[in-house]
Amino acid sequence: MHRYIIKRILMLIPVIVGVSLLVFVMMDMAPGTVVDIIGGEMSTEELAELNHQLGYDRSVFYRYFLYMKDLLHGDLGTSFIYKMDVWDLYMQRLPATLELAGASVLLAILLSIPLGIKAATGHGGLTDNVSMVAALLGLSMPNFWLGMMLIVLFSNRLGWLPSYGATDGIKSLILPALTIGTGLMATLTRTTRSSMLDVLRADYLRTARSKGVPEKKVVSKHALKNALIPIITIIGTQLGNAVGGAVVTENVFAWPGVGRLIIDAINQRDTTTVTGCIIMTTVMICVIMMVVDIIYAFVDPRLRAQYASGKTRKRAPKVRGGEAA
Amino acid sequence: MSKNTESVSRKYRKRGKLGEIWHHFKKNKGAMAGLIILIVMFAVALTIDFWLDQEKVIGQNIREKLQSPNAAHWFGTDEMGRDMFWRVVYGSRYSLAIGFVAVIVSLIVGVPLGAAAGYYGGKIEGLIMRVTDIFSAIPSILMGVVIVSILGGSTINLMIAVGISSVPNFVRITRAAVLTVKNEEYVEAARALGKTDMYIIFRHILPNCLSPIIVQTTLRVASAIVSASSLSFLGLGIKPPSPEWGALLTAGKTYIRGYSYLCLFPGLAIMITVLAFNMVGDGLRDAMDPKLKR
Repeated sequence: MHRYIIKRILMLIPVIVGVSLLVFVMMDMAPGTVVDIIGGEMSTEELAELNHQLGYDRSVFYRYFLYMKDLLHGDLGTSFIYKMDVWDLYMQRLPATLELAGASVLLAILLSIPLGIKAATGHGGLTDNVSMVAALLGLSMPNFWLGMMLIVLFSNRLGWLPSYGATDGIKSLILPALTIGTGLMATLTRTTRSSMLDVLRADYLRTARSKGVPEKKVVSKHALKNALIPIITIIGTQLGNAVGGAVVTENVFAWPGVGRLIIDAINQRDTTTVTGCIIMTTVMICVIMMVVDIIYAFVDPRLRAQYASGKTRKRAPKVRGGEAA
Repeated sequence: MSKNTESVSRKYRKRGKLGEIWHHFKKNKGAMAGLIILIVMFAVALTIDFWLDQEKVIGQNIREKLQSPNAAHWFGTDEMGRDMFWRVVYGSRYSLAIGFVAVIVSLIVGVPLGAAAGYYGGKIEGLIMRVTDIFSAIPSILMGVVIVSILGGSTINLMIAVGISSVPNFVRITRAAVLTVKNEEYVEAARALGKTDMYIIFRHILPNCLSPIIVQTTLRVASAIVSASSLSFLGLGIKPPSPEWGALLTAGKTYIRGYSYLCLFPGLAIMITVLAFNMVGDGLRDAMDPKLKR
């Protein structure tokens, strides 16, 4: 397992190098620089000085090289728009994004898994049909539009919930979480249902039933446990996407998360902030996927054996070599 | 003679396969409903310039501004007194065009890359897949935002931006599909006959990988429409007063407190279109690959 985790982390390095180069080159191709944004009232000399200081009088690769040198020392650089460390900036925005991501994924898990199981066990019945139509509708709704309609209903008409910001505790979390959660719920319900349907046909379930195991236990213990792998994969992917910041939804609800930070930074050509945030998002997604892989091992003994055997197989020659010596 | 029989048998086999797919597809009620919605929308979008007076879409009439939906104006009127029904109907042109062109862009870039990765393997595959990983590390909506900032916000650039940001999907799907068929006997036979790699890829491999690519294309048109309208909504891409659905929502956002219908109908239009594409995509997947069914 350790070997596996180290391998995963090492694989992350080329991706980070590539992603930051890609962001640097693309931001360089966009018209205007951060100097144009903050240097509105500066004299020509001051502008030249600032351009020199930030490396804008040199090529994009020079600036990239400087950035990577800092990154090697664990420094994500300083934002010239926000006048602060990108790491601090990211950490300032991360809690709001995590809160939203956690709430919406939790909402999806709590509603979708029971619904998907019910749809699969009553395949072709009313619950199945209704939930599949609802899931397809949820999948087809543009997030930002759903958010706007929720605001109209719950803030403007009923006045129950605030329409923007994150200052009202749990009350301000409900609408954005529902907005993001709807799409997640749709996907998760469909995945749970199809995964359960695959498993419900399996021979070992017939065996369990014929042994006289009560149907409830057949579904909850024998079937669900074997259907969990694709469900966990989808949850992991969704959490990963949500941690990157729900750009559009954060925009609708003026939610102070990472997604809005990145959009603002792109518009202000703040390359350091954009790169730093995207690197951090990549790292977070990698960590989530690693946790998902570890959970697989807990859920499925076959996979656990695979991890373990991979370990022993790699160790085996060493042991034998030791004996020979 | 053998050439003759070969072409005849191929013709029959081809028709048989299409017939088979249609046979399964038409039994799926949702997919058929989606198909009918799409046919009607295409018919309207393609012919609207012939039968609709442009004045109805862009003509302003301040005296009738901000009317709630009524008999004369089914979806109400906007802040300039323009009829929302005809603006939403006319907007289908933008959204359908953007959805299709964007997906064609990602097909043109993604399928050859995926096919090359799957067919050649080795270093070429490693390079293509690592670059794909890097591209997909950036969330697609942010990719879209950056590309629109580089190219500038016009309809064509929006199509390119949305298209490029879904290239990684097509690379992955094509590669996976190619891997499943590249060791088949007919590919080996073609190689033994001395056919070029290009010929083998386009004549033997890709035709046998079509099902997942077609299904993915249909589903991607749906998500391209949503992405494009999201970009318009973020103020990039198509700007009001163009009646593109995302732009209509942006324009309506200002009046959402008192006149929520301005945002309701364009959003419903997006939802119905995307729903139709999703239903057709699901139906095609079930019809083309019975193994994948449920």
